[in-house]
Amino acid sequence: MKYAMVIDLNQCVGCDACTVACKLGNDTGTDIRWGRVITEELGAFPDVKKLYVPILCMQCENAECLKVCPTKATYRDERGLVLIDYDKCIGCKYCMEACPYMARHFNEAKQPPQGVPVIGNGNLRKGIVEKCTFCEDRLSDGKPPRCVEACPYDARVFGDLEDPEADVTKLVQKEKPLVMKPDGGYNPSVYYTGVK
Amino acid sequence: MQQRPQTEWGVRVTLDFFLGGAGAGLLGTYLIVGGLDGLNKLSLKIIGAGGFLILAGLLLLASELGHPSRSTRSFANFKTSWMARGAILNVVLLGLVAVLMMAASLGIRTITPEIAFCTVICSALVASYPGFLLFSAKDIRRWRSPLLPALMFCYSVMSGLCLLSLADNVYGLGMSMILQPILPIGVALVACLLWAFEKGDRGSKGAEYWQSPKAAGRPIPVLVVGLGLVLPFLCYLYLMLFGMGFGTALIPLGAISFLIGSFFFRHSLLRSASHEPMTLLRQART
Repeated sequence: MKYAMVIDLNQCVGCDACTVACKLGNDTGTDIRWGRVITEELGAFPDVKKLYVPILCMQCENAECLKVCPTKATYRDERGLVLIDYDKCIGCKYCMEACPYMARHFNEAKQPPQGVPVIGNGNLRKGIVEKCTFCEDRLSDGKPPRCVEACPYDARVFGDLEDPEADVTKLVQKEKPLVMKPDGGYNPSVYYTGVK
Repeated sequence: MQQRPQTEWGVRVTLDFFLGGAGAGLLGTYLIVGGLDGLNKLSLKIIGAGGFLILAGLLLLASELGHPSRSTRSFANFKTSWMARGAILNVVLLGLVAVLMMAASLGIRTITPEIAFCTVICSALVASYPGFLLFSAKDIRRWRSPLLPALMFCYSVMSGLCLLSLADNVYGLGMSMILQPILPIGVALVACLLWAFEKGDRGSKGAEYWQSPKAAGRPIPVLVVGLGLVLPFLCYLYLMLFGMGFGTALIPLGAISFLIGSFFFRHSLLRSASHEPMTLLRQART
């Protein structure tokens, strides 16, 4: 089993519905977004290209965070997902230094600005590093990650790359998608299509 | 996404690298230069000072953790993590320091070669492990230099020698004849390694920081190179060429300025580092 996600950047309009769904569903703390959308620009006027690029944990096959974690709090489960055992994490932030995709976040239990209510219990995970899990709690029920479900433009396709009938497998074979930092040899499981 | 400055590790990590390196350097160099002759009350002070520096560094590092109470877990992944290896090495070295101090306090005057050898090797590893630790964070190009462990090691050894020269100045250990020729050569070696390290750093924010004319007015290159290398080199060169005389004040001046430079080298190493940018558009067009 090898879960993967293909994101069609032609479809993404940067509405951040995925970010909100992730934040609410995973109960992340103040200022922590496991998934986010960044804007990428290249060129100069009038030849400017702008893209909205969703960023999340890339679930690398060759994950640097796994190697550097001193406590084995970061581990790979039987489904191939890179996860964090919150009871083992000491909050040393070494994995944040090593992660090539800046996908890990240290929970400082920040308080929101005055007048803004605290939503959820994310700040209870104070002092540990957290990141996107591909919504592993939903996968066992056969549901896709929250960001995939929330996307109004169906820009994200999720599935098992080892299943030849899965949409994600067909897309990866047909579209030859890009990955972030291909030279690093991390073999990420999040692919991008629609980049021209 | 633009490159992002490294902000995860701050001044407490810098202090751990500095104090741990200086402590390990002091222990290793003391055992090599003079301590093998036998333990005495002075040895107890010097070995204790080395152990104290390492312990202080470890405590500062623990205070940087999100969960300091779980820090004993950090030995688990020694197969691949340099942080786990560093934690183990530090604890082993502190254990050896405890053995040496106990022997000295009990009046046992000779160090067995096995313990001395283990302490020296362990000190060398503790002195250089921050270099390996930073080197293994693959996303930060400034730290991806194979020279970094050697540079950390040399800085630590020289910090130890500087502390030893201070102790020699205060207590009269009788090591000045050995230290006088070593110190200027050591400072020059560190300067050469630093030059090679900075020359090899191309394209990162760290390189911009050091090479841009705007950086000339900033305090850190001045502190690392000017105060930390040039001044101690001149002090030690004078001592080597002209002997002591009125040069006794130059020993603390050279030692303290090198130690300040050593701290600021580590500080600049963390402060000027940045995560590499991510881009799909450029990648698609090239």
